[in-house]
Amino acid sequence: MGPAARRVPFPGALALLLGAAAASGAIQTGLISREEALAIAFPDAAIEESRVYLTEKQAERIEQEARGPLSTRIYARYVASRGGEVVGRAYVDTHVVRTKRESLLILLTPDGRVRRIEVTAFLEPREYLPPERWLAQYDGEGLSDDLEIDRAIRPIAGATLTTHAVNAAARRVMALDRLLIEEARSNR
Amino acid sequence: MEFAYVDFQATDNFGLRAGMLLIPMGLVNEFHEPTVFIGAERPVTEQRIIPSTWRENGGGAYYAGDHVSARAYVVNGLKGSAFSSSGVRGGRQKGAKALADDMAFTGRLDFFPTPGVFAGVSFYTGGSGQGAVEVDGTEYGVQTTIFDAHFQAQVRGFDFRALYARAALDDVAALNRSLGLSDSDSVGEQLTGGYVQAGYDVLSQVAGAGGVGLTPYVRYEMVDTQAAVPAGFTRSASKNNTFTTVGLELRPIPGIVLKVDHLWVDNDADSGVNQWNVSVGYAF
Repeated sequence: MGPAARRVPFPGALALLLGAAAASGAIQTGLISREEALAIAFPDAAIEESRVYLTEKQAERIEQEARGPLSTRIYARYVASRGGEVVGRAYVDTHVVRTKRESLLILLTPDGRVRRIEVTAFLEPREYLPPERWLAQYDGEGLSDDLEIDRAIRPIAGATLTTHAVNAAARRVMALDRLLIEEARSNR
Repeated sequence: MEFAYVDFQATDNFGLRAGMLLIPMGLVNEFHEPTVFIGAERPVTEQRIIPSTWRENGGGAYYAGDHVSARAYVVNGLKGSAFSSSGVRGGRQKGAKALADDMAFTGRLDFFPTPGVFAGVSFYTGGSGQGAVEVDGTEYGVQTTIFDAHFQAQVRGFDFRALYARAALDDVAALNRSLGLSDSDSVGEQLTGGYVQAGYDVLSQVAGAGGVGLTPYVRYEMVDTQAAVPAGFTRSASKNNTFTTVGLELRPIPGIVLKVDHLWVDNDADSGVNQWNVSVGYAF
């Protein structure tokens, strides 16, 4: 037998009000800054920061190798050196996931493989933030046919757009890095 | 509106949540977009026993760790006066003008051994009387408890899912009487259901497929919405069904899906209606 209680209509308007508040406030807690991520990945290394401005021809080649469009032709690039030797590079890729932006700092090894991916900004709802364990699947991966969701990279249930956005960014950055390295070698 | 809530992110892993919440049960309810679940129709278990899309008003807490995630909410209970012999689906209150004479507690615990794979359990328990089930001057709470165990693995194009759910209802004889139900029209005192489902994206390992997915799938499901009925009522053979689904899913780009499948429905009353289902899904 149930408790003898008065009937209480639960206001649906409350849910609407709360929902509106949720939609308007993306709170960036727990995300690492670029500087922190670089310092952790490349301790005691000198970091040289630059901007890469891509030509139309460069952009076309990157899009071909990445198998997807570039979100910008301007990239922040970081080169980490220790004792005059390059120990790694990093790029910032900012793109839209669903309707809001995500910024990834994609750290590469000297041979152009992913060393680590850090999320430095994520304006979509927090539950779509890619977990660290999922991002760790990219560690050591190079730009290959296998670097796709449902191949080398397993999906996240309910976060399809996030996974495809991260994968596309990883492919773009590795294609960009490969191009810049090849151009630097040919200009020597 | 299907859900709308505010999160207070207390730490990286833990937070509080309030608003209109998706009940954290099963494999479909929290991720019910057609681009996420396999099949033109949702599994019947997750329509009649876990009535997706199931959302109610309430609040609670969530935890998301590396290997474990959990949610626990207090929400308004179901509305038992809308239950039927086909399940509890009619009892969803969906937020607006929801009655909260009887509240419920629901929760979920999942374990993620590796990316793409998880297993877990979820439960719901609460009154469904809402002050509306009364017989001879006595009010009944219609305590409703639902439990499920689930597993999902998505690895290299394979998609395997399995779920078992069971519901138990109290005061069903009184509920039947208040609803004017007799004989085999009784609301189930126990409901059971479960399915296994497998799909494989045949283009997933093909270089140059350009993100196009093509997934044949099969699902086998058993659902009995009258696994037990109160004394004085009879079980209907038409409520104990097996469902076999064979279909094909095409994803031309992420976010768009076209599905077609054939569903065979079998029961001892020979009342099952086989059908073709076709659906188009778009996540935006």
